[in-house]
Amino acid sequence: MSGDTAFEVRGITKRFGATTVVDAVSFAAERGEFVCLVGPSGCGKTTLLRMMIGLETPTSGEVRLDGEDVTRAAPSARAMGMVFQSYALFPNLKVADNIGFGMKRGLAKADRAARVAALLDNVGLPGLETRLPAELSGGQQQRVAIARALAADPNILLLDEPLAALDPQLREQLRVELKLLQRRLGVTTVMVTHDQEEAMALADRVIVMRAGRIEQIGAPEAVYAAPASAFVASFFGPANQVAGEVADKNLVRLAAGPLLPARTDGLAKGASVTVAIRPEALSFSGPPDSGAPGRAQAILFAGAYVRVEVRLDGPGNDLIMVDLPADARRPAVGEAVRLFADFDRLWLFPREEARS
Amino acid sequence: MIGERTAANLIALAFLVLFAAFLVAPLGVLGAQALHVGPGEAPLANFARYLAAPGLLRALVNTGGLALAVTAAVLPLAFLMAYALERTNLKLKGLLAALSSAPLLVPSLLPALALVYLFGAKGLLTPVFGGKTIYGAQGVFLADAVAFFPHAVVLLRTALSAADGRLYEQAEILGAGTWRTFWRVTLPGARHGLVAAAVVVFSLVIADVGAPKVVGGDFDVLALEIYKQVLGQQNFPLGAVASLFILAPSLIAVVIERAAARRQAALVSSKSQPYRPRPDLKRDLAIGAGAFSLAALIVGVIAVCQLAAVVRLWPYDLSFSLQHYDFDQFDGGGWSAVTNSIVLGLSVAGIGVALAFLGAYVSERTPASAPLRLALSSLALLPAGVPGLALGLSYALAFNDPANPLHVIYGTFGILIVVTVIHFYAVPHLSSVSALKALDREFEPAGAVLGRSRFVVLARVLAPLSAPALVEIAAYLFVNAMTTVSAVVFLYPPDVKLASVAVLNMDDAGDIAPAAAMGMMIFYVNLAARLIAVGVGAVLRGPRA
Repeated sequence: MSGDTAFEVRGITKRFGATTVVDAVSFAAERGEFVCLVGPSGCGKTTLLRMMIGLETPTSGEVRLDGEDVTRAAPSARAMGMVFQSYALFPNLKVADNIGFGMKRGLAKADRAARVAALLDNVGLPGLETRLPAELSGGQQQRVAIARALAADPNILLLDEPLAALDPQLREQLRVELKLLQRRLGVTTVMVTHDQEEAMALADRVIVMRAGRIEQIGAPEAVYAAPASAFVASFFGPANQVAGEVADKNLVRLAAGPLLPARTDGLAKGASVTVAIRPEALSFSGPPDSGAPGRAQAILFAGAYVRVEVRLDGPGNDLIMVDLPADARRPAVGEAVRLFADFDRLWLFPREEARS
Repeated sequence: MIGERTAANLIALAFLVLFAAFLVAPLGVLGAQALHVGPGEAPLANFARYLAAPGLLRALVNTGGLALAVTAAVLPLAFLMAYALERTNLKLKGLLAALSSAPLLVPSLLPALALVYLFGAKGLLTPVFGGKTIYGAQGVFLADAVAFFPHAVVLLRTALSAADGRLYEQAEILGAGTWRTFWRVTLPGARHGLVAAAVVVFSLVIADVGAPKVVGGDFDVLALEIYKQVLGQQNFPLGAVASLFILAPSLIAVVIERAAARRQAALVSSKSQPYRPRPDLKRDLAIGAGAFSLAALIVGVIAVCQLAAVVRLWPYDLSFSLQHYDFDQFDGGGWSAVTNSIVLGLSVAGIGVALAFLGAYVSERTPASAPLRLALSSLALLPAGVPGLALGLSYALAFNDPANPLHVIYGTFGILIVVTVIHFYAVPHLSSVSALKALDREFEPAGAVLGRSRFVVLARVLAPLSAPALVEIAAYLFVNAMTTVSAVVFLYPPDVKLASVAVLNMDDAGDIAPAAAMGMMIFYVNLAARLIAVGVGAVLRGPRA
């Protein structure tokens, strides 16, 4: 890594009894970067976050901060701040006392007040010192929690599902504010979320986790455009998945029967594959006598686009989602259609044994 | 500096040592005493002797029959009261609840005293019944029913308050009528509460010594038998055997009660909608009439004691007199008994709250090792299954022994505090556990990230947030310390009389009116304590509510 690495975990593993929750995970964050750990619940992302700050002790592996090993250091000795999923604001303490909770005990009253005021200013909530948490909106509570996490001037800010406690409308609005705030503060941020849309919107880099391991690391656009596995393809944005087999070079046969052109690099002829494609990479127009035949089952209007559910002809009864621009011609329900895939966006993944 | 885990383990260990010394060891001594036999006797000779004595066997049968009868009578009436309080739109529910819970504030023998005043040898109403008196099974039955009615109401209210409103809406949509809904939805929904109330009333009755003493006549029950064997005949082995006969069902009862309470709580899901009774004047009038009549009866019973305490010579000279309040003239300990009881109540409240909260904290929210935490939370519940008489007798046996390193507390005020704290420990522990469970589990990690130990979070956040619950617990401990007889009757030192014991002793000596007066003093002190607790609780809750 370059000299700008703010933070790194190396081969970190956590076992609880016989269960391995985090399995030899390594990654690094650049200074000022916004990294999102994203994955389904139970994938180990929160445990990973808690090991970074020292609330859990890794079974093996190390945590490095500015090149220094802090694996065994106390949470408060790591120059990290953390915002908890519930915010964990102390309900009986005023905003100022919440923010000042961890400040040095010897600090003069005036200095303390000035520091609190500056932090509140920083998160856009000047003058709220004397409020109790219950007197604040959900968004304000979140920002007080951020101010508290920043009180010790940390190099790294950790966020555990900071938007999950909010209702959906507020969540989208605060997403923007969180992004702007992080930019303005320039603090290296690692956020845990199970919401891939949130991760895409916020992160400079996403780390997709599954069952304690990293599946893929990359910029959101890159992960979306080129998922490394069938799991990432469907977790990170919607994707159709059907079974298939490599029929020939650059040709795949779906289990339902039809042949489709696809990039078969690195796959042997006859290999079992999972064929995946995003709904917007499918269309109903292409050369005659090709494509995959099926029948439109349902049309779902979604505002910006229209989703057509197509039942493929042949065995398997595979149901395929096709997203069309709202103004495109769409088939009628029950109409026979042919599906065509964008060659560059039809992905083949070696079929893997089922794993959780 | 020691780690938080080590500190938590040490505190848990300290609690286990306390429980070992003041609960497990004395009960062990009690068991050993029951099994203790002379040379050449069979190991269970005491039990054989006990069962061979006709009087004792009869007491055993009487106790079981009495407890079943009281339970069967109290349950439907308490259900009616709980239903009125939780499932109707009655006005004055607060008043109804307060009136019907009045017996919680007095020793259980006070309702029995009232019955003596009404239906005893010189009872006001005895002539109405052709001179027949109430002494015997029927008297104990009525007195216990009044005394333990509020305990059942508390449990049934909890069960009825936790209803899922959606079930009732669904029943209505499906066309189920009132009765059908009651039998198919309301009762099944409260069944665990009914079980809990039944076992609690049952075990209170079998452990009660006050009512049988006052109105039992020649109706013998186990608790009274223990009392007589120990205080009258100094026959500790037989007393110990008899107390095992009330200890065993109580222990079983607490296991059943806990399981029922857990199941009752599990019926409420996070999706449950609160139940709101529909307007129904006919229902409210009918149930309200029943509930207010019950409350009036209960208050009437207490009021009789107050009346009798301020007349010159019941029932012949009903002119007003305060002579019975001249406690120093009677054999009961005088006014110092009242102040002693208040001091005991305050000490028990203070020490009990601190211990129960810390113990609950260690068992619920710390990284102390799992077996230690399990042992702690189990032992904290054990006192609920130990009747006061059994606990008191076990203390008398264990701490009277000079070989016991803690023998020094025997015959001191300290042993009264200890036995009372232990006797009433379970409820404060459970209340502390639920108060702590309601608090965000991320408070301690948040503190750790900010460089503050969990004990700082405990002091600055968890304890202040739990303050309203702690005030409730303190009031519970105070009230029970003021009223308990059974736990302390074998233990109080000659120079330290307690108000509750004074009621028993003055009644025993034939000074019934002073006994009633003393019982009412306990009532007023407890009433004041409850009111203070309500006021303080409201202030504490105020700014955050």
